[in-house]
Amino acid sequence: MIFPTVQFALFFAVVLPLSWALMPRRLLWRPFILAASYYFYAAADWRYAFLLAGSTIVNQTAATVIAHHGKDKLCKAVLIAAISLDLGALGVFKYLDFFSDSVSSSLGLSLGLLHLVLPVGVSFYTFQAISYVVDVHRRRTPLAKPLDYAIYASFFPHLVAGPIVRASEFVPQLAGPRDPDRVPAARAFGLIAGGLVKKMVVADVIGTRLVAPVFGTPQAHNGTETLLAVYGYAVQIYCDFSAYTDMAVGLALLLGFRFPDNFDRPYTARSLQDFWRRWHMTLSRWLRDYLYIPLGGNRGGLKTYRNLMLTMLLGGLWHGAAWTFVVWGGIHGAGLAVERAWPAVAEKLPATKIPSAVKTAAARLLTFHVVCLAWVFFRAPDLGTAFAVLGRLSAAGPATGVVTPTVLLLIAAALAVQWIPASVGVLLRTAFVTLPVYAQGISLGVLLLALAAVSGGRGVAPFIYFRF
Amino acid sequence: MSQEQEQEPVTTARQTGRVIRIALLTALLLNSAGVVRAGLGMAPGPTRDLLLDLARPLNSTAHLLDLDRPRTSLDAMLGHPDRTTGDGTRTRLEQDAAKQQPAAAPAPRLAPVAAAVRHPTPGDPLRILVTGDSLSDFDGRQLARLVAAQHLPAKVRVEARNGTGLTQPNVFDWSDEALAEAADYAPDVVVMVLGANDGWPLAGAAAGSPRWVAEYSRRVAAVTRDFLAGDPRRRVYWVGPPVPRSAPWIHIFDRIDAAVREAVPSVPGLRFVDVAGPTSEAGHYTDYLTDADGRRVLARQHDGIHFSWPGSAFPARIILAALGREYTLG
Repeated sequence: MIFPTVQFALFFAVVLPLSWALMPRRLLWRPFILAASYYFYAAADWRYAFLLAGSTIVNQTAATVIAHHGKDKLCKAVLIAAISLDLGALGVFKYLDFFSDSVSSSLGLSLGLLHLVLPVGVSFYTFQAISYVVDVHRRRTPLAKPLDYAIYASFFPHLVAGPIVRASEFVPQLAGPRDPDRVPAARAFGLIAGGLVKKMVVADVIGTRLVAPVFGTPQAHNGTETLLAVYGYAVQIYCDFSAYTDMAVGLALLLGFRFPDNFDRPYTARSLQDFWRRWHMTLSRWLRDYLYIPLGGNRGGLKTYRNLMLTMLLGGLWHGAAWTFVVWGGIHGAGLAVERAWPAVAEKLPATKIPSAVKTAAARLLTFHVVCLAWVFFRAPDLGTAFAVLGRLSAAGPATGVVTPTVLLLIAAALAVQWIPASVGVLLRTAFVTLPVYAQGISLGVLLLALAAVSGGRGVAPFIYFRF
Repeated sequence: MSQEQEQEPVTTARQTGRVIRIALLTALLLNSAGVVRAGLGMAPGPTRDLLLDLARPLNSTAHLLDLDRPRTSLDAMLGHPDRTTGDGTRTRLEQDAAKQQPAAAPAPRLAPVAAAVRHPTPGDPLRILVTGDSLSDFDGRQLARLVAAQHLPAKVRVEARNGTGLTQPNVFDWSDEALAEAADYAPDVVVMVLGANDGWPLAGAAAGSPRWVAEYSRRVAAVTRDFLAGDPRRRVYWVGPPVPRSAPWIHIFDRIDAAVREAVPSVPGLRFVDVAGPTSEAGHYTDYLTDADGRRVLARQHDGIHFSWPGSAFPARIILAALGREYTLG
């Protein structure tokens, strides 16, 4: 089940009032929300629910042993075993067939494939599980009650594509009933409506009309079309992914729960480091806390560069077993390393009188284009296509008509919106809640109608991050 | 709590519920036909039954009260075909296409006998439209690559309609779509790749049964006539689905192949492209195929139905070879 469907609207229309009705009765609410979350997850494939339940049991058991055994050897062994099981399951589903295929290709064999379909959301809940067990081990989060942990692991708004919420952020919210008199409904509606618009109007239109044709047949397109397709993909992936997590955050708010933000106007970043503080923020901090810092972080001279590179390469591989993702991670890792080394280099350069505003604008422009360069590899089905796209950036030739005023307007608008201060959103939401209830409802209903019309009855294209 | 969160306006859960109920009711009333179509497209089960039980009477009422007018106006403004007759009346595809002349059709539904094809030149390339369900997406893009790489006098346009088929015209009517695509793109050739979603019964006949094959074949012919739209120089190359990995699709895809073959003699201008044979191992499913350079390529996706990206180069080459038998491309 995915959010922008009639099935989900029906599901949520039932779950929301029941959740608030049962909220004061915690003994009823907990099993109810757990059952609702498993129903949501099993709607895609009931077998997935067993994997989620298995992951929950394994990690809660490990966390219990760790919490009760201090920091002895057993504790460490259990931690390693739990992480190995988590990563092992992820590896089987995500990488085993790729490995078999690679061996087959290089040795000219036809090894059998398992044909395992990647369970939706497995990467996200595995990362959450690892963070929980590690945090219990580090004594940064207390052991959760089994039912609370099960709810945290399966809570349907974040289950499929994040954000990656930590136990320390979510489990305390389960301690008591949420306040039914303080629901930030306007923010929730804004996030859900904005997410629907970003996905159905911006991402799907740019993706089908411009990005797919150019990345499908780069040879057929001239430099202008190719460049705009690269910019278009930057907009498409942002609007696609942030749409889903915005809706997740909004739905959680309606149920009375707060999730951390996952995006903060990423294309206004002044550096790659800044970009990673704004893009998929919950994954960035996960990589930082559970990979980069355990590797040694930035405390080791040259090792800092190695750690940056390793973290980003593994971050790339997390998206899938393909060389394109390795290059994507490599570009970001190399970029972050260069940024780290730059101040020492800049000190030795002669002083310039370039105004700081110009420097900032140049830094933003450069960052955006490095990110776009990396997106080319992320989007391309193989390295050959990625290099073909880059090779066409300077190509002459007639236009094929994929760049239309609509597409141009959507790209420009999506980039321009990033510069609107967050306070404007608060003002709009405050104005919205001053409307009478029926006006709020009708305006949201009309928006849903408009979005259905824009999609032309063809539904919503699959979310890009579902396959990760 | 952040400063921004402190400034956020808050309301009660009760009021929030009221706003959501009004929003959903508004959307349901103004888009009741769309909701019925969404329900018809769902897998059989209690959710589908509940949705249809709720949406069908609302759809009738909304139609009587003219509440579907905003949606039809929006569709017209956005250039989408009118699909508001999604329930209660038979779709064009369900009608006997050979006998009935649709009032709204922009061109005669039946093509006369096929005339000689137009031979393309670099200045006036062959306009190839690749369309169909999700199977058409990679096939079409790989065909476009081949055409570009070989500098052939052709332009390929890919218009994949994921999740569609011939067995649920109430959800997506390929007859309407074919007319719209023929009018929008004026192709010389339509390459139709379809079948991945056609495991549903047809007119009461179980999927794959003889009656089902006969009805499927009739629908193939009807949609082809709509694509031809009276242009005797246009051709429709209907690509059969590949051999899938598991039941029940093995039987269904085999029957789809049979249905398309059966339709070919009835419509001048319809050609069948057999992908199943050349991309299987003696008629059996295989993950790997050997390319022209002798390399083994993982040709299929996890689902055992779709081709992988490199694997879709195989059907693309088969399609191009089929086109090359009728058109002078080299």
